[in-house]
Amino acid sequence: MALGLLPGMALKLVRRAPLGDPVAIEFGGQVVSLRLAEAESLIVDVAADCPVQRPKNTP
Amino acid sequence: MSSKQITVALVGNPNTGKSTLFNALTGLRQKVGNYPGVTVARKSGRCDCGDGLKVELVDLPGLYSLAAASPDEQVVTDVLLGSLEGSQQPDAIVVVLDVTNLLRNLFLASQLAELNLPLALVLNQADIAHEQGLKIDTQLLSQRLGGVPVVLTSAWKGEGIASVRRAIADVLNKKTKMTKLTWPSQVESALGTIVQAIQADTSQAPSSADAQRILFSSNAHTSDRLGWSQTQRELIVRQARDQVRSAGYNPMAAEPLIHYAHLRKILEGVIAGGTGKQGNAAALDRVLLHRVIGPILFTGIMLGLFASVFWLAKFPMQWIQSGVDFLKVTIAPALAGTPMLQSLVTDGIIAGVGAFLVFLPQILILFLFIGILEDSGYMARAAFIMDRLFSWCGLNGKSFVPLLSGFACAIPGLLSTRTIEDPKARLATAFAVPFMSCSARFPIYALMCAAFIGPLYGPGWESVVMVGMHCVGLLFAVPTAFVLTRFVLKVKPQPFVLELPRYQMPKPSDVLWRMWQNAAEFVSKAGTVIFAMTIIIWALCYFPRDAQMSDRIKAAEPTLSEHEIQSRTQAAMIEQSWMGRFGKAVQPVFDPCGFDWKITVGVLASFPAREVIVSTLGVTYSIGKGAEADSQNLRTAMQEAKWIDGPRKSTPIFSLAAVLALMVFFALCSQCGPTIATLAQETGGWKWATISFFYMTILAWVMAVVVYQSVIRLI
Repeated sequence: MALGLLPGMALKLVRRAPLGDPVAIEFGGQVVSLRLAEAESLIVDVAADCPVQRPKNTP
Repeated sequence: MSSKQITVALVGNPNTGKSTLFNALTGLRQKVGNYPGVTVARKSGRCDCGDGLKVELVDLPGLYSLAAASPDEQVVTDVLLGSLEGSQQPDAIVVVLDVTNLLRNLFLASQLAELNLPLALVLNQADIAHEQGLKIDTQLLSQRLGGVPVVLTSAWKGEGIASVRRAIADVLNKKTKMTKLTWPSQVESALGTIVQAIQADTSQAPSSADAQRILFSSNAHTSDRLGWSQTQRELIVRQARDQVRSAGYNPMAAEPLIHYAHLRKILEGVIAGGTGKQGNAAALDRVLLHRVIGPILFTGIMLGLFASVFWLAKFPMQWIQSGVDFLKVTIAPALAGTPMLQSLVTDGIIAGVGAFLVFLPQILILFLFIGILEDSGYMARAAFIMDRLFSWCGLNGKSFVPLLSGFACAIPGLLSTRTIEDPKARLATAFAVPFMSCSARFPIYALMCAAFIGPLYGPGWESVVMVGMHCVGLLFAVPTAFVLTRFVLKVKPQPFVLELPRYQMPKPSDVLWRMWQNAAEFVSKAGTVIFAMTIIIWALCYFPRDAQMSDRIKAAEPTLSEHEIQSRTQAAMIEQSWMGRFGKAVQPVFDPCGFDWKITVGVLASFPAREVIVSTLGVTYSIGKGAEADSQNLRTAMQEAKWIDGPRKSTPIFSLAAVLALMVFFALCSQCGPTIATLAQETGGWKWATISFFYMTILAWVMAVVVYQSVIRLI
């Protein structure tokens, strides 16, 4: 929240760490690392033009 | 002007170049200390703002929001409110912002505006904004924020520093405050509810900023500080949050949502241009965070770091050692007339100074690397790569560097736990670092392997045991960290949210300055403790003195050579010293580990510094002073040593069981004064240092007994 990840914002999963966790997400022009346990609390809609499959662990 | 020192606080998000700006503003006129009771570094310095105006500039830890609960963030809030013991409220705040991410950075500024202090904004990293084609209308921004000074700088290039000085003078002069946002009416009345309830309870009206912290933050820090009674809180806060909910906001998200909406309007027309591209980060990350190449590069970089701390530091360490030895030899003859003073100066004082000076090369080299890794932006990536390996036992990706450095030496490892923000992970890492098999454990492993394992079982087993001993500590450190974070430290785990900042060339002056500050703090704090401990152990091994000892030995065995008499005298002296008597008295405690009184004295004398064991064994086994791990005489003396009485009479003291037990004991035992002193320094008191000492020492004893008793029974 303090980093500016607000409801309604577009975010992009940029990459995963070599062991699959944590993940790096991009929003508002910055890249932030989140553990999957914390990323799970995010509710995301997959954009219609999203080229990748919906990641399994993000509901 | 009044004689009161004017203080200005420097606040900002992490990765904004705040420290670089601080260094540029204060030059070398800095003081580094700790805030009372917490392990948050307090950095302050004198800043000359022109026209004879000198202010005390305080560099506060970087943070994203006033709402969170880490010790760093609470210190910032407390300092700004003037509620921290021993620090006065600053006269003004300078907020440092990354101009390329202005919206997010302004969120903190907007929260700070609620504190009603004069405020100035420094938009830093203008050079990068320029590269990205961003144009900022600072005048318009200043106008919309109530006329607070807004200056554009590039601290890295040293541009705009003079205008920051002018802005500080300006804000102190005019006391300009940043315009506060207008809360939606329901939120306003929710805040009013809290203010009224606290006023009724404590008969003092809290500020609106305090009411916001109580309404929006999930921790009880502010309520506790105001002395609001526990019984009322829950009900009133729930009522107030319901009011916020009635305005359509989730109470936990309301604060950033309202601030951001407000700030978006403020920024309309302020920023022009900019492609919004990430610059170098995306391209470099594609390589450095690649699933295969990333870890390989990471391993390479860390091996380089380890090799430098381990091998490169050896040369300056040897110079320090030979300097100390040279000093001893030079000074000794001058004091030959007074043997007690001679021994105090050479074995006590000079050895004591040498005992902490010898750590400086490793500390400097490690902090050179850490400075480069952090300032370049790679450290966050390293933590990203390693986090999974550490998260399950309560540590995090940033624990890796301290633990790795611990294999060279625990001291720099402990100092580097400062890079871990989460206090729980920081403490658990600091607790685990002394378990790592440091280079001071090497001599005893080398002696034991060369004297017993090698001759008995061959060089193959010698290396197996060597490698095994280096893993013993790790084997116990990981479960210890797990239990500590899971069951002992009942603090809410902090989410590991980590910004991956843009890559940047580290500024040499910042890196060197940090090296120097860490080394200076180590010498002034841990150094004094290490020095005192060396003197105490010296006294215990020296007193009481029997002046006729060597005459008596000569009289009893007139055929001995001069050198043998000297060695025998030293052995007899230590036997009847306080340390020797104490060793004999507590030998029964170590009997189940298979240690005789000579080993026991060695073990006891090694508590300030474990590497002393080899030379102490040299003295107790009558080889004379200065024995080294590769000393053939010492090996032979130990191989021939037999129990002289008791049930094990005339069997070798150094059986396989005793040798393994001794090595396991040294792998686990907390035998390092500097480590204890540094642990106390880094954890803000003696509590955790004491726990660590007893935990490791008892664990070492238990494991040595287990090893000795099971090996005897098996073989």
